[in-house]
Amino acid sequence: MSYESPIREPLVTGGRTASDVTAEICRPLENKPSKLWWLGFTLSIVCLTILVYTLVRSSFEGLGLWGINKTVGWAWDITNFVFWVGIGHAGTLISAILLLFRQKWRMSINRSAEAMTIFAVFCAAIFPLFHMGRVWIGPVWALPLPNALGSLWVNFNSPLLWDVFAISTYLSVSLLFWYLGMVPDLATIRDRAATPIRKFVYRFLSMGWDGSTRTWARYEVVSLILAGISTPLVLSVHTIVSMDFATSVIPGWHTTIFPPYFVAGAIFSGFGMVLTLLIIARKVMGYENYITIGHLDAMCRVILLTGSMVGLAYITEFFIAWYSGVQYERYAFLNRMAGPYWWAYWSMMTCNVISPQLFWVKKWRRNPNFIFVMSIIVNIGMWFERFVIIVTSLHRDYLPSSWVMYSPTLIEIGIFVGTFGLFFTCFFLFAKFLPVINMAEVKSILPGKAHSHEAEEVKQPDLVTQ
Amino acid sequence: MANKNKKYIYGIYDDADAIMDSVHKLRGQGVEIHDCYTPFPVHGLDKAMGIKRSNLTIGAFLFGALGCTLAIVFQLYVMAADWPMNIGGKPNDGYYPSFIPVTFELTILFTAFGMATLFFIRTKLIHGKVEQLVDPRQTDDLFVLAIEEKSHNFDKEMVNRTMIDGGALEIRERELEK
Amino acid sequence: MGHSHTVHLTEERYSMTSKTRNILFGVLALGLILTIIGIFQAQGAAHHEAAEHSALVSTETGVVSADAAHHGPTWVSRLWANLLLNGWYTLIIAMAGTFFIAVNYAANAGWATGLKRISEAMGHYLPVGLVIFLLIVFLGGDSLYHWRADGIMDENSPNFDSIIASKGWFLNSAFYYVVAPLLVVVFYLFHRNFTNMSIREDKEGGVGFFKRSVAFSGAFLFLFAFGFSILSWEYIMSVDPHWFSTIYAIYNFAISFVCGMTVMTMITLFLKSQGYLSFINGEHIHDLGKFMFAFTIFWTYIWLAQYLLIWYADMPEETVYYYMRLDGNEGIYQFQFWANLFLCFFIPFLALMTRNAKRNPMWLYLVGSIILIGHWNDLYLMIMPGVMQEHASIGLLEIGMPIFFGALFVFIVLKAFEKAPTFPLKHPYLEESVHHDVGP
Repeated sequence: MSYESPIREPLVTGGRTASDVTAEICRPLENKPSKLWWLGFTLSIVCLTILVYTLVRSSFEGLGLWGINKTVGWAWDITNFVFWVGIGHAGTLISAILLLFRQKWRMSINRSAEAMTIFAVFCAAIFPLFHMGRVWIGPVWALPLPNALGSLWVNFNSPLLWDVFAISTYLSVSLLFWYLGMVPDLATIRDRAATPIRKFVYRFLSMGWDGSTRTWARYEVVSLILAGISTPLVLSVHTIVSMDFATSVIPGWHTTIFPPYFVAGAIFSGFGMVLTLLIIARKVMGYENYITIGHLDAMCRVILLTGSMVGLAYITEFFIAWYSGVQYERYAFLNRMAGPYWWAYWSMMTCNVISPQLFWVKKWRRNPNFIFVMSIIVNIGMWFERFVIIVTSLHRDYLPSSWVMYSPTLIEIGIFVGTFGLFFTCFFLFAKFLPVINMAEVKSILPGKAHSHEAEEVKQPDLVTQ
Repeated sequence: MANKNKKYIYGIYDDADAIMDSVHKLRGQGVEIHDCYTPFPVHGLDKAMGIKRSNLTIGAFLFGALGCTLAIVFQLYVMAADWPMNIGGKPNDGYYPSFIPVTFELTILFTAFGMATLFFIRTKLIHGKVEQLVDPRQTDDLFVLAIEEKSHNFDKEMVNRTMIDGGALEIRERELEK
Repeated sequence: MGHSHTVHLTEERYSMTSKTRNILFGVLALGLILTIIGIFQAQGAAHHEAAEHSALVSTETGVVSADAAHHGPTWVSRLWANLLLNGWYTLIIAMAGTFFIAVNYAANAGWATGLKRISEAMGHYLPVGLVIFLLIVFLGGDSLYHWRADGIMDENSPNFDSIIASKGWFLNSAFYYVVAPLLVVVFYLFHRNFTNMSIREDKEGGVGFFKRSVAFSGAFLFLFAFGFSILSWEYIMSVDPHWFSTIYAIYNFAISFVCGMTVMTMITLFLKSQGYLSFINGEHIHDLGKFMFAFTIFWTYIWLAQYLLIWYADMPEETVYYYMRLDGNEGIYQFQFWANLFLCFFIPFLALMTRNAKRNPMWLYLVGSIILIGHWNDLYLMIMPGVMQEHASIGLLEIGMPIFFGALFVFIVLKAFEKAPTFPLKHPYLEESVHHDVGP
């Protein structure tokens, strides 16, 4: 039993009933896709083709096609890897952490955010895999196989190996969480299916779900525990990504705040991407009653919070670099601000720290067009953050004779653009074949008669004042 | 048992509160609830039906402990026992902080998949299973209250009346082979 | 689920029973007596050690003896170090009270509304705590902070330390005497504002106060993040003036919040046992327990992030911190260092795992005490090696003083709790809090 304070905004507007929810969420699955869908899908496929082309060339001709060099051995690829992994974090945050914090607004956005997580991790995985050079054998070396089967045993002391474990655990647990959350909705689609193929496919996927309360009771416990363990998991993933850098002795990389700072940045960028996608999706698919202005407002607050946390981390890093008195640290940060990549640093600062502060204004937090622009700015800013961290710390190392500049080649740019193709192809397919909003959960928070009856009873605090 | 088949009475509702009320009333009259089928988890319905809290959490803990142990043993075996190597001067003679991340990840992995597997086994959900529905809209917007017709002093009349009075749209009966 | 029960809330006010007061005064006196005996004990021990030590030092190099002469920790430093530890500990727990109010407004959370007056009362320790804390750092600063030693930033002095001198832009009187204390004053002004609005809301009602509190919460959280960082760098990290860690402020925050939630849980349980706040039930206690559990894990995460990264990179300017807590300083901190992990992580983590554990008052008192002792030990390890080096030890002083501060804290908080109704009468989320249900 729950009571909702009357001052809370309704989470579903337009007086929707349970059957409206089913009908509206299932509509894209049961009808031919719109022209807009085809347009977007085609564009994504074009980008995906670029990905395939650039990756095939990178594999056959080698990484000489990339702009990396001896001094800057990690650059574009790792930037993009961290960028995509970071984007993935919002999905798990929304479904796990917000579930633990009882933020009910998560219910209509968690499905698509989780899907986004999974697709973003696919995109991320491409970069380290292809950076290994020989992609047909590299992944085998990352598996813990005995000496006789591979090269040697993997090195568990290496943060890169921790990453293999973290990302693969994250991907598989996220898939599980996402799928488990979808089973009841798949059953709903199954029970409405008009064609035998659809019936067959969704019957297979829904595992014979019948909505039994005995199942629901266990299902809720499982969801809660999964949320409970996904929360430290999601923190651990970007923590371990940050340790790829922070365990080293490179100025600007080795700093103890990296783990929580990367996590905050990841959530920040992830919410940027969720907003970008959902502002389009709610418009195109007509889900304004489910993803309301109130939802956007709440997400903007998260952006504001995490943006400020990232800002605090930037300032802390800078402060300690100065406080430490270590000349290399001091130089690394000066070089970021005023070195040859100053433009990247100041783009990052503007996009990540200054612009989110605009969200203090409530009016702007509730203006979808403004939010859309801001969400893209956040994404750009977070991409630059990784670029700044990786390239500016490397390009001027301890030995001034090896100082160089880095710039990406067309092939590298092609791979990055291509990953957007992969991401959006997956997302368009998801929007066509799977329910974009969690129907079962949204039905449970409908402000319908089931709840009004309760609310009437306790509308006013029954206070006996003496 | 003379009769192998089981008989069920179903009350179909369109309101979560109504089904909850009926469950309370029926249980108050000593009727055992076989199950309720709902399109979304109705908060508190499981408690009303007298379902105990699931013990899956214990299973989850055990799987987590298993994953944690395996990860520690495996890393020790690889790094310290089978083929100790000096890489970057890192120690290779015991458990060190650098093994914590992988230990953590495997603990989570085992917990998640172990618990999910237990859940699917316990709830008998499996790919390809054909669903047993009372009404195709029970996954859309209808709520079904199912009661098994027991042979001994089963007051069918009372059950039907309670459900109708409680707001059931209709009552159905069905016999299922055991 | 009887979803038709209506809860009758009666405005109630807490008044401390004479029994509670007597017990608190008793504990306070006990702490004070132990502290005083402890001081004499410390004096005795220091004299004894000094006699032994002077024999040793004379045979060593001039650098060591010069250092020992200028910064030789005495029983006075030990007293100041203990005061700093307990003063800071209680101060950051009080800050957690204000933080909890703000975070609930900002997150639009309703469940904890019934507990709001408890967090308000905790924040009311801020002015007392600040005065005590400032007395400690201002009067004892020269014993506590090596960077305040004479001539340490003066190039011409024999005492000159170039590393410390390079931090002169932060480790200076302006920050020490003005900026950092002002930050706490600002926190308290925010706290006053929150509580005043809450009291006015009790009388006038409406959502206006709620909306203003939400706005103030955003501003507070923003300021708190920066201010708390500066405070922990200026007063605690600078105990080890050569060493630095970017995560340090977050580490302090983790201690503040996990201990704040623990104290809040224990005060809630105490008030319930006294018959107040009857609508606070197992559901709320369960959620408080979840906070204790979750932030125990958070603390461990931050601890590990710092330890693992420093251990892994193995750079001397950083590892010295852990060296001084493990093998260094004659190894006197080693046991406490490892015990810390058990007190702050393993025991509470395993003990609070199950649902029943988070709902059992006696169990929560027990685990809560372990957490509080654990983080006292945690702070001990942060402060003592820097101030006392190998001369620290645990005697009656270290036992008596936390008892004294603890009793003082509880007394002031309960006194502050008397001043307003036990729950915010017209908070728009009060009803939600009353009907709070944790769920599966």
